[in-house]
Amino acid sequence: MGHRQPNTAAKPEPTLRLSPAEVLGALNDVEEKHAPKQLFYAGDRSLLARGPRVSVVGSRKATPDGRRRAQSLTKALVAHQIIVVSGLAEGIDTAAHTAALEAGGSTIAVLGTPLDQFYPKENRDLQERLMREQLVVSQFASGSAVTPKNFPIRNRTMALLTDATVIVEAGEKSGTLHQGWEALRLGRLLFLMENVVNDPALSWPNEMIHYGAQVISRSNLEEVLSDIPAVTSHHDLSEEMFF
Amino acid sequence: MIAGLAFGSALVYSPRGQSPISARSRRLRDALKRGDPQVISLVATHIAKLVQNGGFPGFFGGDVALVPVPGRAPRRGTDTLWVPERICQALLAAGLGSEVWPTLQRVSAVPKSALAAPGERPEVQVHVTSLEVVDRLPPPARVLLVDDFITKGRTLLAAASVLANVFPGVDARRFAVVRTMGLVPDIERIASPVVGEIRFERGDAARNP
Repeated sequence: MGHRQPNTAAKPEPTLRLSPAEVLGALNDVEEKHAPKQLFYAGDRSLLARGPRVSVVGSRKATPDGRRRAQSLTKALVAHQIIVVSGLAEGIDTAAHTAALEAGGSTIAVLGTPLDQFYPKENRDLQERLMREQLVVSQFASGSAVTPKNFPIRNRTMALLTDATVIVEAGEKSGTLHQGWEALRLGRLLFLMENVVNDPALSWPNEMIHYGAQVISRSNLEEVLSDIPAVTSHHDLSEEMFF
Repeated sequence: MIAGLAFGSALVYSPRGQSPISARSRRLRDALKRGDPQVISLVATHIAKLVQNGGFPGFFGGDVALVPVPGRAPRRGTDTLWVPERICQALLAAGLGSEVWPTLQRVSAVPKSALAAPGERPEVQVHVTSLEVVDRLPPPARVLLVDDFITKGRTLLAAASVLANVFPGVDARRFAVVRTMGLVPDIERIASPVVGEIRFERGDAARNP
C-alpha cells in the first residue's frame, strides 16, 4: 500500500481479546452493522470498563494551531477524569495521546493496523508505552495485511467505543469524517471545534450540524465536559433497578 | 399552541444526585440513550405490568398507534439510532399498541438545551417549526406520542401541537418514559409512575410533576 508501510515488531502475537458486547453490553442492530467481531488489546483492559470516554480526532497533517487545540482539549478532558481515545496516527491523534500522558490522564489508542505493527513508525515508542501503561486496541489480527480500508473501519469502531467524538480539524476528504458520520448514526455525541465550523472552505461541518453535531468552544467547554454521559459503559441493569 | 396537556411517565432519573439510587438512575439513562436493547425491553415490560395493574388508564391499548417523538436532529438514514422508535417497538411487542406510526420527523436540528446560552435555549416554537408530519393518510383514531426523556416538556408539547394541527380530530395522548429530576438533590426510587401536566406559560413549557 505504498506510503503506508507499517513497521512490524518481532513480538509474539497478542492473544488477549474481547468482544464489543463485553465492553458495551448487548448491542443494538445500528451498532451491530459496523461493529468488529472482536477486539485485540494490549494493556489495561479496565480502561474500557469505565467512562466516560471521548475520542479526540483530526487530520494527520495537522496545523500547529490544531495540535495546540487538541492538547488543550485533552487537558480539559483529563481534568474531568474523562478517558481520551484516539487513533495513534500522526498529527491530532499523536497530540491527543501525548497530552493525555503529560496531564497524567488515561488514554486508549484504537489502531488501524494490527497490534504488532506500528504506523507511523515514528510512533513506535509511543505505541509501546501505551501498551505498557495504558490500553491499545485493534480489530485487526496480528499478521494481517494493512490496507487503506482499515483506517475508516477503525474510525467507525472508535465511534462505537466512545461516548462522544470531538473533531479538532479535518479537511473535506479527511478520513476523520467517517468517524463523525458514524457517531451521528449511532446516536453518540459529536462535537466540532469552533474553528472548523468557522472555516469557509469547509462544507462538511454545516452538514454534520444539520444532522445533530454540536459546536464546542472555549465558552461552552466546561458545560459540555461536565455533561458527557457514560453510554458506552456496560451497565448490567436488571429489573430490580426500578425498586 | 396547546395551553396545557396531560402526560404519562413511568420512571425518574437524577442528573446530579449522589445517592446510590441516583447513580443507578443515571446508568439507566445512559443505557437507554445508547439504545441498549435489553434495557429497552426491561422498561417496556415494566410499563406493561403497570398497565396491567390499572396504570395509565386510556393511554395504551390494542387500538392505540404509537408515535415516536423525533430526536433533536434529522436522521440521515433509516439506519440511524432513534431511541423513542425502539421504545415504541418494545411497547408494541409487550402488547401495548396496535402499530408503530413514525409520522413525525425532525426537519432541522434544535440546539441541545443544556449547551445553549440562557435566553437562547430552544423555545417550544423552535421545536414546532423543526417538526413535520410526514404521513398525512387518514390517521388512526387513537394515538400515543412516546418520548424517551422529558425535562420541561418542550419537545412533547411541540410534538403534540404539530400533530393536533394536522390531525385535529385525533384522540392523541402523550407519554415520556423517564422524567429528569434536576431540581431535587436525590431521588428515592426510579419507579415513579405518574400522570402529570405540561403547561405552556409565558412562552415556555413547565412540567408538573
